[in-house]
Amino acid sequence: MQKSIRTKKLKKVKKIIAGEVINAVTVLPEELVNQIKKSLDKAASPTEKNVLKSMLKNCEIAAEKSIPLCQDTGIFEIWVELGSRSILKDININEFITEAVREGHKRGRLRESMSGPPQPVIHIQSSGKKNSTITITPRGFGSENYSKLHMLDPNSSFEKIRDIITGDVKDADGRPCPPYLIGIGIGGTASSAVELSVKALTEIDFKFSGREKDLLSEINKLSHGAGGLGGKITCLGVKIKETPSHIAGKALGVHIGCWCNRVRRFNLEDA
Amino acid sequence: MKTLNFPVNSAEDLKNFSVGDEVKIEGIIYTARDRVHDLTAKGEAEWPFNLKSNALFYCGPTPRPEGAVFGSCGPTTSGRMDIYTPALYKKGLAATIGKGPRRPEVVRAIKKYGGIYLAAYGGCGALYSSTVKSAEIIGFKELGPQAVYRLAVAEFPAVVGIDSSGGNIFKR
Repeated sequence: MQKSIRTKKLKKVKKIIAGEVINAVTVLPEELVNQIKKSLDKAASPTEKNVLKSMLKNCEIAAEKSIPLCQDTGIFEIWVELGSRSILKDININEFITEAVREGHKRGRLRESMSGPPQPVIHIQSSGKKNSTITITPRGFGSENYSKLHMLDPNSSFEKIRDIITGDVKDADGRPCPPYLIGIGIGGTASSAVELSVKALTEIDFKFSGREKDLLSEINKLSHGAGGLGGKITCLGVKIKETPSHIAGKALGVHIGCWCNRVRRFNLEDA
Repeated sequence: MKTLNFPVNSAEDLKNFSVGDEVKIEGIIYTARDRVHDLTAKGEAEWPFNLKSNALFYCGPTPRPEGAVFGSCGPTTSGRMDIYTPALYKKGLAATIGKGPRRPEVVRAIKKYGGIYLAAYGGCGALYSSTVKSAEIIGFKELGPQAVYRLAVAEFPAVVGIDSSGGNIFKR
């Protein structure tokens, strides 16, 4: 490709990513909004129902006015699953994505929440396909502050793991903006268990395995309720991601996500 | 639904509100969060408004979008402000507005000095932005999102989290 065409194309790609950064903080995934709607009829009280309705109204206003859903537009955590034919293949991807995030920050008038210029956390892996997929999740610190890492005994049962996770959620005591979405990472090293737990938050599809259902039901027994004000709608979804563990230990990463679980995933070449 | 006006005329006004009541806040409220609490507590800066009879909103908004009155402005976690809060109620602060539970010493101060704690809905920054009728920075401009804003609000929804007799919605 000619150099000037390539430069133009990269500029366009950067603009697309910057736009998706803005979308990530202004539009909540439709399936999550539907899940909140479904929970309305199960609310424990008129107050809990009103809290949930306020959340839905918040989503409407944010999308309509293109204003951030939450004032904490967070630190952007981004996964780039790179395709074999991607235009990003031969460039400094970290630098490129960082510039795109900063462009989005400026254009979308996002909050300057960091002690320096906006610095995304970027994970780059191969997509194993021709095309690339990008996943953007802004991590707000009302929930991020309650993330946990536990290094467990290799023989730890799922019941033990379930009790530890439920204990973490109990300790958070409604601070991370329930109804929660919970991401769990099990296995690998300390760092991979934590990364898996936040990746899990980006993959919640509300189709739960037996263990996920079990966790969901235990967490809902805590009765933190919508907005943490008590009630039945404490947790909307759980996702467990697992990788093999070392014979001498089991790493457990726990991410307690807020109801406003902002995730944007798109195919770069189609965008 | 009950309406709660700020500033209050006297602490008596707050006695009509009980834990769990849904309220609409009307009038003037002031934003402040971590840095301003720390600087004022250390005596390195003064509060840019009189705390007496007023309401503090724990909030760091996004910058104002073009053509809008104010940015996204939901509540931040109140618990981080707990160590500073009893001294402010002692000075006559009527209310704090934020999200999440408070430490026992905050509950005691609210009861002792006849204040109130209002729980706003976390993650609802766009909704709260629509309740702001006017906004001006009155101090700490250099702190960006942590500046102190004077906000005129209407129909700002919240739930009484801790009432003036010490009732606490988070006691579970």
